[in-house]
Amino acid sequence: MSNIALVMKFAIKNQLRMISTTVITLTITFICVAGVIAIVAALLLNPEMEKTVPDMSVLENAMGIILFCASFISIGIYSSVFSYQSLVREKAGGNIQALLATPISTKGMWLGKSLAVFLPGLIFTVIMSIVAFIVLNLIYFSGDTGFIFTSWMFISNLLAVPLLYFAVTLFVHIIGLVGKPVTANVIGQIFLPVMANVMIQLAVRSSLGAGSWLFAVILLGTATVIVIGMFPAYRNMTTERIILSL
Amino acid sequence: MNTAIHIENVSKKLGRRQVLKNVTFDVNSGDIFGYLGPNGAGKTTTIRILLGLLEADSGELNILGQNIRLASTRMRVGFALDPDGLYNTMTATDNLQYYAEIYAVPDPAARIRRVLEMVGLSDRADDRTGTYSKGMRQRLSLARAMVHNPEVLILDEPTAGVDPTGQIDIRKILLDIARVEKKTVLLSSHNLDEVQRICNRIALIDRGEIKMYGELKDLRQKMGRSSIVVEVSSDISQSLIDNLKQQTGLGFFDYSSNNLFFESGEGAAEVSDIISYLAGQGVKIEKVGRREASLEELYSTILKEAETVNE
Repeated sequence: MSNIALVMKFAIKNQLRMISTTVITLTITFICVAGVIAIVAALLLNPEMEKTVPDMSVLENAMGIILFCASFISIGIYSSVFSYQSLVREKAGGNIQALLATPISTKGMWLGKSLAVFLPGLIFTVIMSIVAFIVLNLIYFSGDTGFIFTSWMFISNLLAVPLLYFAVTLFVHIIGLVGKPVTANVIGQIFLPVMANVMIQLAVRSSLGAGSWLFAVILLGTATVIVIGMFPAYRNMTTERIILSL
Repeated sequence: MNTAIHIENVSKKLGRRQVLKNVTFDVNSGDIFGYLGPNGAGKTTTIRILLGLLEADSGELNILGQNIRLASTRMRVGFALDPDGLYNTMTATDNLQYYAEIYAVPDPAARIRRVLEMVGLSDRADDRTGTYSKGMRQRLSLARAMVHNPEVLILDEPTAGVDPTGQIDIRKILLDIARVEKKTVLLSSHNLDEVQRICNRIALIDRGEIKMYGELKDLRQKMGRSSIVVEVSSDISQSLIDNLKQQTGLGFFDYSSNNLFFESGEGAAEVSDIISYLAGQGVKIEKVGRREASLEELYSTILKEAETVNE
């Protein structure tokens, strides 16, 4: 088994043992997603559905916003909590130092640990998005309008959002490894509400629909910017740098 | 004798502080080598450099003749660091399984059973390490260091924070590892008693410089103040002590609790000369013995000398 897969396997195993943290994280995520669905339903969906002939573009936009929030909040909260847990605990507990003294490379450890946070978050996100999609369609749209669906909605929420959060997770881990985990945590925690707010505002206030191709492109573009911004930290990510930041 | 660890003129600066200055020593195969020094002397930095966690600014070093940065060298080295790096939410077996997989240990289950047995933790194998005492954690760290059956063990303060009974257990395990398993051990410590009990060779580092290095028994002879101790039956007078001080050939240097201390070794007076002088002075002698300098004395002498030079 490659070192990346090995680090990932044991990091996930370690996460799964943190039962109380996992339960609290999932509960908070459910509450947040349910809250967003309720707000969007009250402000956008209900008024539109009360019309004799609902505007499909408004319904698609509302659906896109809900799915975006479901996926973005799920993966965002999961990544923030577990990146922080893993970085803080493992730096203070000497786990990172011990791993770096083995044949595992610095970059292998970074990728393994990032994937260990990202992949369970991705599974959780996919489940949340699909559940939100089915439940909303069954409640609101199954009658006259049929299922509300655009392929860009799925590209945005099942591809662009995960890719964006993979970039964020890599960035948070690199900063947490070569610097202070608290700094990484602040970046992760600020990114989630700021980015969510920007995208929702764009979808609500402009002609940019949450189920449009441009919405997906903005998410992918942000992921690209983060990856490019990561290069200086990537070049500085040496074993010595990590050890001296302990 | 093969050299297991070679470190020559290694220097390291961290920020503006020169942490290591031309550190040089060799650890031979089969040694239990004590790396001594007060807190902040540079022990952990040396160990981190040896494990490839930090880079030396200058100098040469190798382990088993190879660069430590090579994966093939790391496969031959085991370590226990402070903090221990054990996963609290995992069981002892899972912690060892992780490292067994990293080092691609063949038949890991059997090896894990063997190392747990070696450190006396077989009955707690399935307990989470978060429930372990400090002593048990240190023993598990040793098991982890041994899981891939390395040739060299590098241990940073293996008994730090452990109660006296736990320290005895760890010392016993270390001796077994060195003698039965035939491993080379380098351990850093500031516990002189521990080093004295188990190490055959030592290096003493202070403020980044090696102050003393070699076989423990040679160092005691060469640098220590081994002495002849004469126990007398009753208190002796100040005038007799003054007389003894004037007899420079006898090498008298201290009197306490009915014991007279005379220098021993090359150029010192013979025991018979001391006894006849004391008998001539009417002193009743109870016992005569020889006392080797303890490592503690060597250590404090050298550190005091270093302080004097620095002043």
